Amino acid sequence: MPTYLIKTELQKTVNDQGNRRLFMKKMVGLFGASTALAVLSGCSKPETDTFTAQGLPLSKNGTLFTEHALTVLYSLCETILPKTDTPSAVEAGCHEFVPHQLQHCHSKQQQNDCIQIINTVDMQANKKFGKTFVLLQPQQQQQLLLDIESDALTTDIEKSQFSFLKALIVFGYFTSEVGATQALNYQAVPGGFKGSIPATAETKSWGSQAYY
Amino acid sequence: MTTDLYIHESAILYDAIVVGSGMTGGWAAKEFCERGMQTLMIERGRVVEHRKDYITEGKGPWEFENRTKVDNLLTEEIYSTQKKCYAFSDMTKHFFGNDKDLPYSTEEGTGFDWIRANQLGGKSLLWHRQSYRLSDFDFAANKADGHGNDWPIRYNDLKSWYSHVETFAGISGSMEGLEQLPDSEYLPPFEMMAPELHVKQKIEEQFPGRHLIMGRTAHLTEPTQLHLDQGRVTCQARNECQKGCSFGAYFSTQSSTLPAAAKTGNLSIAPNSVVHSLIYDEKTQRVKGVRVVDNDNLSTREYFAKVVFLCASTLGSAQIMLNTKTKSFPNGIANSSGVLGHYLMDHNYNAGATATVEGFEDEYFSGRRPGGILIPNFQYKPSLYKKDYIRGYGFSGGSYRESWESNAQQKGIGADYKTSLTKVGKWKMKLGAQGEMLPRFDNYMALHPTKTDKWGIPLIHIDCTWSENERLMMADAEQNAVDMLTKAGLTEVESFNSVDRRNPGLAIHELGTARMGRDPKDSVLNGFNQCHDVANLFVTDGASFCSSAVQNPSLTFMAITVRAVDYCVNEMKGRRI
Repeated sequence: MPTYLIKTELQKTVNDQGNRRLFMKKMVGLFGASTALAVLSGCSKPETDTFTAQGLPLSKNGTLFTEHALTVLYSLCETILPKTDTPSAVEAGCHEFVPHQLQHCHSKQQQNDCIQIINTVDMQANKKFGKTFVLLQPQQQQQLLLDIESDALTTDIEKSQFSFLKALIVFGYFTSEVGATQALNYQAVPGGFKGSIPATAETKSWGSQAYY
Repeated sequence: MTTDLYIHESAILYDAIVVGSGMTGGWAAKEFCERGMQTLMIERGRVVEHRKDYITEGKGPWEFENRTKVDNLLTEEIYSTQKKCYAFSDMTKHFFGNDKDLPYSTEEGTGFDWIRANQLGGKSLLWHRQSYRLSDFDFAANKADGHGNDWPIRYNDLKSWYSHVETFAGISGSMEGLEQLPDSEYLPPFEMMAPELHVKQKIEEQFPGRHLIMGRTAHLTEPTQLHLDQGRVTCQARNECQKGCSFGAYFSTQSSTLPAAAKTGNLSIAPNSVVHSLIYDEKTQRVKGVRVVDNDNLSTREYFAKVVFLCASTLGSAQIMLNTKTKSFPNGIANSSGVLGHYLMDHNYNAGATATVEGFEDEYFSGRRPGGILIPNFQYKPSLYKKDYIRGYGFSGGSYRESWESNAQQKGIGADYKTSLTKVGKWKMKLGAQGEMLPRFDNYMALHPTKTDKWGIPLIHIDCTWSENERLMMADAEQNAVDMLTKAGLTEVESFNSVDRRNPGLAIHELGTARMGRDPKDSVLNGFNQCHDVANLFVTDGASFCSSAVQNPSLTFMAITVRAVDYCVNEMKGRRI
């Protein structure tokens, strides 16, 4: 579970939504996409409303992202930093961290960039596979994001928007407790400084930093 | 520390009042107290108790609501200037001033970023702990090239006082025997990393006269009994100093000078006491004490003493003096020269370069070294000056291995990308210039003609800009950073120059607003930091500097302060004050 402090009512909402995403994800795994989609359609806006050409769907409850955008963000986190021998970005709470951090510590421009790129990712998924990013196979999700990073068809603005969102997810992951202490090596109290210790290509970075 | 250390009202005639509790105030109080003087330390901000009030110490980034970043709204509302400080974060913000409560103005078309730390301990809690002596070349620079007035002191005047403060504070560093950067009394230096040793060798080979040495910092790498007796132990290499350090491993008022002063039983502290002005007696031509406005409830009170030491910061001390208008001093106390507030300086930290160090893949480091390497000023005398500008600069810097922070935006999605982010990356090396800023009459602070702050004190108005000399110096420093890294065999060299984007102030080395000098007609203080015009008033912070040199100034603040106290006490005993 994410361990950063969650205080606002808004955050509680996001939390509940996060839990529902998890539920949806499990539904897809257990019962297949069509059953899950039925549940999805029952609890969020119809697809046709969500994917407008203009993008930028503003959520009705005043939070940064629509419920559907949060679903896509959840899958983005899972795809970019999946579970390996260490927990995934979702297990580290990044899907909740991103909206929180954008709202509290980033500019309107950066918030809009993230809203737009999440919409772009989902539109690409619809264009290529005829369904939401959330319901693609993991390999399809990975390939679609690799294409966004490298494809000549993606604009420079989209590339930089994606790059920003990805870096924010990465920041959320490696500043989380699991990211800093399990995925990396954490020295709370190093006890002293050594200028030279042995390293190999497999050596993990220090997760403990003085400044972030 | 006992609770009666802190006072509120007091009718006592103290031997000495010390205004300020930071780097210099702590030393002044300690030295007075240890000489048997009843001393009142006045601090405008709240009390910060060693250990107890280091509320963020030891916390991981995940324990901060915004992962160490500060909320936008809070930043805009009360930290619009403080946010520009490299050390400002959610982990340290409680030790920075509130910009909304502490307004100041700048001349149209200019900017000055004033970083504040108004609490017991002041900026000694937040400082970068770099500790360097000035050399005779620095003290002679103004005289040699005619910019600014001649310092009334030379290295030999300060030498034993440097030793005095270094031994007590604990300075780590290496003996180098450089004429431009005299050696100190040292604890062992921190270790260099392999790429730093490599770059050191290459630069020293290819650039005669340039040296790359370990930075000298006020950290206990190997505490002596003197430090253990202060309750301080070995530095744990956390490099989280600005959160406060319960190990007392870096020098601060709280870790070092304050407990020493309190131990004598001669110290009282008046916290939450904003000094409005000094009380001057026209008959005796002496100051009698200070007028104070309560930080919290704005009530007023006065404190009295035989001598007053202003250690309230370069801008703060000059503000108090300018706001003390008397019959004899209509333009501010001890300002018969008219230079009070003028010759404001900072350091110019606005150019440098970063490069990739190939190889060393089998090398890493352990712990977080609280400081880096130093390339001391290599243009420290007129014969070494460049053709198109005067004075010089040094570089600070260091090496590091890239990690997820540098590599997050590299291409990749999924398990391999994630794994690559957890591994050590390329070695990088950074050099950042530390340039001298010339003393110029045109760079000044004055009192705002109409606006006052919530304590009823006129706002400081600042007009301070980089001159052409500073611009040319940074352009040259940028080029030299590139040349050194390139000739050392480094690749992917990227340089920067921010002199036109960053205001003075951000080196947090404000200096020069009440300068020393031999001639009362062009200086405020004599060579003992004593006002020419008022014998029992001293200013021992950065205000007293005649030139900025390139060295971080704190160690010199400490040395001139203890020297001034020694002089003052002798004068008092000799009944000349």
